[in-house]
Amino acid sequence: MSIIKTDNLSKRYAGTDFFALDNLNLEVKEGEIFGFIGPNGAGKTTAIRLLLDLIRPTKGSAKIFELDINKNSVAIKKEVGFLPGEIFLAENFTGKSCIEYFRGFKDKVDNKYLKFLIGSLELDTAKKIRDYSKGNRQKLSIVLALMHKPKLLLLDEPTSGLDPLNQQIFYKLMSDAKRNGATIFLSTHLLLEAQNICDRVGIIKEGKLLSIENIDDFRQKNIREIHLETKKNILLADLQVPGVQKIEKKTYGYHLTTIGPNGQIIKKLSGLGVDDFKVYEPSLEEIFMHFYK
Amino acid sequence: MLNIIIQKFKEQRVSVFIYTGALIGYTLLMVSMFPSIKKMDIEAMTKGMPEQFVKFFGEEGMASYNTIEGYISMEFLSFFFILILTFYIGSSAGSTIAGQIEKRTIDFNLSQPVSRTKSLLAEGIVAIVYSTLIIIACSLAMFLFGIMFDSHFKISGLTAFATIATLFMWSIFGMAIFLSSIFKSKSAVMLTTFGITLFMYVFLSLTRMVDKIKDFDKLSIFYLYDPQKLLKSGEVNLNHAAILLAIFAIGLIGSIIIFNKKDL
Repeated sequence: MSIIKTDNLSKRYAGTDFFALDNLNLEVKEGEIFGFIGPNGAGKTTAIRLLLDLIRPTKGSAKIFELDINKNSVAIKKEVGFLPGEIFLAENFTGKSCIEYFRGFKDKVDNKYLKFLIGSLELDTAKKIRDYSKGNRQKLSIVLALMHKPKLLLLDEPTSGLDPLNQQIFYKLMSDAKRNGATIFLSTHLLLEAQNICDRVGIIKEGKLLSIENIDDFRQKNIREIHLETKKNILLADLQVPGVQKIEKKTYGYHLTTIGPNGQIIKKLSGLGVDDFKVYEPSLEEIFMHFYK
Repeated sequence: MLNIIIQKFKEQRVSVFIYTGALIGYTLLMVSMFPSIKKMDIEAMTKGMPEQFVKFFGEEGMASYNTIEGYISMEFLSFFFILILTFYIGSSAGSTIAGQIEKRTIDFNLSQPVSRTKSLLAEGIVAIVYSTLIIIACSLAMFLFGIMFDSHFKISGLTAFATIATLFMWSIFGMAIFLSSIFKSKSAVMLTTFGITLFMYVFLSLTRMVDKIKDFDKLSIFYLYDPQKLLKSGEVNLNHAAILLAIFAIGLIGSIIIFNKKDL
C-alpha cells in the first residue's frame, strides 16, 4: 500500500516565476523510511508543507493513506506526526502545558510511551518554552510528533539543533517507530543521516526530483574527499588508482576526490610515506555535480 | 476544538481581567462624579461653548448632560468604552490568523487534526464570549454604582445598551477577523481596526457639523450605536441589531473563506 503518492505535485509561490516544486511524482510505501535529499532551497520543505495542506498545489495532487491531501486533511493529520526543523510555539507554554495542549488534538496517547519519550530525551517539561534552547525545543517537537504513535512521520530536517548524543537517540526512536509499522518521510541535507536510516532516497534539486534510489545503490556512490598529509613529494601518477577522480597538490600534502570503495587507495598509501590522512564527506553540491548534473 | 477554546480562555484571562477592572474603575469614577455634575447649569455651559463643538458631540447629548444616561454616554460609553474594547477585539482577532503567521506558530498548530474553520471559530468564540462578558460586567457595574450614588439606571435601558453594545463589538470583531485573514501581522490588524473605528466615530460627528454630508450619517457604524437613546428608551432597534449582526456574519464568513484558501 502507498502511504504517500504524489502526482505531478507542483507549487509556484505568488510573485515568483519559477516552480519551488515541479511535477513531483513519488510513492512512499508502507513501513519504509524515505529520505528526501537536496540542498537548501531544493523544494523539500515545500513538499512537506503541501502534504500537510499548509499551502495549496499550483497543479497536480497528492494522496496520503489513499486520501486526497486537500479534501481529507483533518482525517490524514490524525495519523501524522510532523517534526519541523525549527518549531515555533507559544512562548508562554511550559513544556508540560504544551504537551497537554497538543495531546488534546489526538485520539489516543499512551502515557507510558509519552513518559518514555520525555525520559529518553531528558526533556525538562517544567521550563517555559521561552527558556528552552534550540536543542530542547527540538526535543519537545520530537515528543509532540511521536506521542500518539502516528502511522506516518513527516520530518523536515529533524536533527538540526540536536547534539550528536541526542541525534543517536532520535535515530533509535525512528528505528523503533519503523519497527512498530510507521512510515517515515524524512527531508534532509545530511547524506550520512540518509545513509544511516533510510531505505530509499529521492534526490531533489531546484524543485525537480532527479532520481529515486535504493539506499544500497546510493551508498555505492560513496563519494569522499581525502586529504593526505605528507612532506614528501609523491608522483601524481602514483595516486592515480581506480576510483580517484581528482588530485590536487596542497601546501602540506594532497587532496583527492574518490568514488566507490577506498580499499585500493588505502593499500597504495601505505607504501608512499604518508604521515596522516583525513576523510571528509563531500557537500551535497559536490555530489550533485558528479551524479545529478 | 475544545482544547483550543480552553487554552485561549486561559491565555486571555489575565488581560481580560485587567480590561474589565479598568473599565469598571472608570465607570465608578464617572458615576461617582455625576451627583456634582447634575448640579451644574448645563444650559449656560452649553451656551458658552462654540457652536461647532456642541454639534460635534451632538446637541441632543449636550442637552441631556445632566441626566445620568446623557452624561455617562457622552463621557464614557459613546467612544472611550468602545475604544478600549476595540483594542481588545483587534488584538484578539489579530492574534488569530495574522499574529500566528507572524510568529510562525500557525504551521505546527495547523499540522494538528483540526480544520482551519474550526481553528478560527474556536479562537473567535473566545473573543466574542470575553467581549460580551466585559460588556455585561460594565453594565452591572453601572447598575450597582448607580444605586450607590443615587443615580439610577433603568434595567431595561441597561439591557438594551448591553445588547446593542455586544452586537456592535461583534461587528467590529467581524471586521477585525476579516482583516486578520488578509494581513500578515497582528499590529497591522490592530491599527487598521482601530483606525477604521476612530474614522467612523469622527465621520458621524462630522455629519452633525457639516450640512453637506449630514445625510451620510448612516454610513458610519456608530449610527447604529446610540448609548444615550438605548439607556433612556430601553428599546432595541431590531433593524440596527440585524445590521450589526450581518456585519459580524459577513466579516466572519469572509475571513473563513479567505483563510481556507490562503497559503500559510
